[in-house]
Amino acid sequence: MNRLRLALLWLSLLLAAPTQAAEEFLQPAASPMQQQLVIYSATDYRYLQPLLQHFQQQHPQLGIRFVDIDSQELYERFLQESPHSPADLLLSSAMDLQLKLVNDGHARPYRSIRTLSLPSQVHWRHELFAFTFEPILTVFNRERLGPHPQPHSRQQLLALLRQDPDRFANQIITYDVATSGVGYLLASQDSQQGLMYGRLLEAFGGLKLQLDDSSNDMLDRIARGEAAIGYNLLGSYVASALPRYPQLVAMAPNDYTLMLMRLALIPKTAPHPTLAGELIDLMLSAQGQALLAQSGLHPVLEPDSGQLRLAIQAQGPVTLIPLTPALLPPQDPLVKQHFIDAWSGSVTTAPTKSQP
Amino acid sequence: MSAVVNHHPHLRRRLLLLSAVVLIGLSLLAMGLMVSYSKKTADRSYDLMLNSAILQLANAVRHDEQGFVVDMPVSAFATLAQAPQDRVFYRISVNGSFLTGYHSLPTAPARTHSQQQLTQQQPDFFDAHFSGEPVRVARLTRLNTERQPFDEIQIELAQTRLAREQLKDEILYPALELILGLLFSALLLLWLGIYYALRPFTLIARALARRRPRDLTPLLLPVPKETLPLLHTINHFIARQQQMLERMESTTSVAAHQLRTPLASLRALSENARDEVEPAKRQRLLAGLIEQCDLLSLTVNHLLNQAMLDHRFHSQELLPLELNAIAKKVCLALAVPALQRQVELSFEPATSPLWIQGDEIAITQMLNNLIDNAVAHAPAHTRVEIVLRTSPAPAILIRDLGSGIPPEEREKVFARFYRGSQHRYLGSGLGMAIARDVAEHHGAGIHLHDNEPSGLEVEIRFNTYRSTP
Repeated sequence: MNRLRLALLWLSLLLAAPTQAAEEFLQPAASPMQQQLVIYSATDYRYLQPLLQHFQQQHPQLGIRFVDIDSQELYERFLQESPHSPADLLLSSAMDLQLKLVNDGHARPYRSIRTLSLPSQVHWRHELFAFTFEPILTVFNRERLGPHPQPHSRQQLLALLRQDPDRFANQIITYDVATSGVGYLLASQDSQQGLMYGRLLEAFGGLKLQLDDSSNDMLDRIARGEAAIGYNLLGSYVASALPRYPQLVAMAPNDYTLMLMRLALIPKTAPHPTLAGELIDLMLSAQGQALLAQSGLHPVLEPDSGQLRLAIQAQGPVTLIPLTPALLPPQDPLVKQHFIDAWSGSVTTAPTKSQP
Repeated sequence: MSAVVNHHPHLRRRLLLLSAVVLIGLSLLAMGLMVSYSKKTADRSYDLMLNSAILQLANAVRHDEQGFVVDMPVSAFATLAQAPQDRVFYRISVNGSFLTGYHSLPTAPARTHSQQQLTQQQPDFFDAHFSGEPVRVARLTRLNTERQPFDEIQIELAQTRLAREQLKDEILYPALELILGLLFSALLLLWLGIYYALRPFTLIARALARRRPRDLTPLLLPVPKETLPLLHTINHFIARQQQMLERMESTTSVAAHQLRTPLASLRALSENARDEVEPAKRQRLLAGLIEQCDLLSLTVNHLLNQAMLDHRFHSQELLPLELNAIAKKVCLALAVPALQRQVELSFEPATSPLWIQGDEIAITQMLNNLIDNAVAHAPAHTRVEIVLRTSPAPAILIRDLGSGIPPEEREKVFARFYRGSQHRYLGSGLGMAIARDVAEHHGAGIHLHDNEPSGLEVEIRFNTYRSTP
């Protein structure tokens, strides 16, 4: 009965799902399945597959349903389903959305020997755990840059755009802040860093922007030459694209490089919180971190040490987005709406507004 | 016996219990004060942070052509991140209607101020419960004066209490440890103090228990000054026991001697009487034999009396007695035997009743002995006077017209078995000694004076008396 109702709910949600349907992967259990762990993830399945398989080896009767979904949708879908959400674990790099879920009381604290020894920067309240980090990079199609040298900072990028506007018109691609959770997070973090982003945005607006929701799509389009510059792309996707497309070069801006963390939380309503906790333990173990590193993500902890040490060296321009309530203001609905309106306005109606 | 012991209060336990109750009470009070103090201090520190954040938030609300907007200040929330593990909630309302934030945040208790509000300089703080956790809420009301009429903007900023609780514990626990430490050291000191205070009693008891039965030397113990009176009292008691024992020993040996001599002489007299053939001489010997028997009988009587009185002195309470009545009774009893010796007794009572605390049998015995003595020493056809008087001191006077006692012998007659330089009459040598023992036991003095025109006056002078019982 319960299962049927869940299935119906699931079906109705599928039907009601917005534009981009979630992609689902089922990892069957090795022996007759007793439990099914449901993971909502804004990270591609292929990056997490080795880790999940390893987890299943430890739990042969466990099946895994992996729902690959955009970070903004993940947030909204979970809230829609609540309190009957089947999700046992929410994985997303939209740090502000994840933190808001915790702040609003949707998460369940998890404490184990492993999580209790975590550095304070990589968890919040024992309800939100970082397991990988992503440097935020700008990617260029070397061929589309023409004679210009590759910029190394936002100032140089801005100078480049101003120097050769015709070349880069309609050639810049970035996240759509209105539909992508990560995109919004990065834009709002950028706007907190200073005036540079405003100027860059004006320049982007003047040249028209292509907008997308997926780092991989954007990288493909840049590689194909449909765009010359990809702004604010996730480092691990870039890193796996670079060998495939030799025409691509990546820049970690040396004015500042944002660093975001991929966060896991166990919903309060999770049907299998203990299993979810064990998976978090595995993710944060040396072995789990090594598995994540093998599939191309940047583990948040130094893999070799028994102690859990933060792998990110905050040196020079690296700006780690901190896991604190300071992530909340951009998620205020009024603020968010205002920001998105202003952002969309400036990138689409830029020509009339720029150069005051 | 053991039941009686069980009813004795345990002084040590009581002292400890009482002081422990007081100390624990004080400690609990101190702990209570520390709990509220630490909560207040933690709240005050983190309220400053909340205060600064809410002021920033208040400045971020403004009105533009699209209506009210909030330039949500990230810095305000970064300030709140000084309590890094705490969740943050806020609600912004304009003119009473919800603008943004957490709609269901609990409302503050009503303000006591008047309706005419100004922009608040400092927010109000209160405690509430929200989203499953206790929270601290700050509320600030600000007037937006850009429009007419003014808009009232109300900002509420709430934060969970984790950091506050942690700070509270950091203040509280060392204080609690200190209080507990002090409590335990105080109890320990108290226990030691009580132990040392009561130890001399144990020492004395142990020393007494260890004594051999014949050992009546004073106890010599290094007890503290406070316990010295007890030790002195015990030693005094031992000394009295010692005296009594010595007196008993000497009395017993003297009495044995005094009984053996007359018995030997009785035997000698009896043998002589048996062997005497001449009737006149035999008559004389038999008369001597009877006299010796009387003397022996008197001695035995006195010895028994003395033993009886000694026992009474140690066992009987002194009761109110009227001396006139006792003296009269003795005189009446002795009048007939005196007349047989051709001596008259005259009795003159005091003008008012003479009450003393005394032992009636002992007093009677004393008067008996003294009057008997006086009668024995009085020549035939004379009078023995017994006079009671109240001034200058209450006294009983017994006067005879005999030969008196020379001054140098007056002290000796009180010694046991002293019979004077010349055997003037047949006596045990104990009568005067008994009389003096009785007088001393009643705190009275016994004095011998010359009588006019001749003879002896015995005066028993009492120190204390009353005219009523």
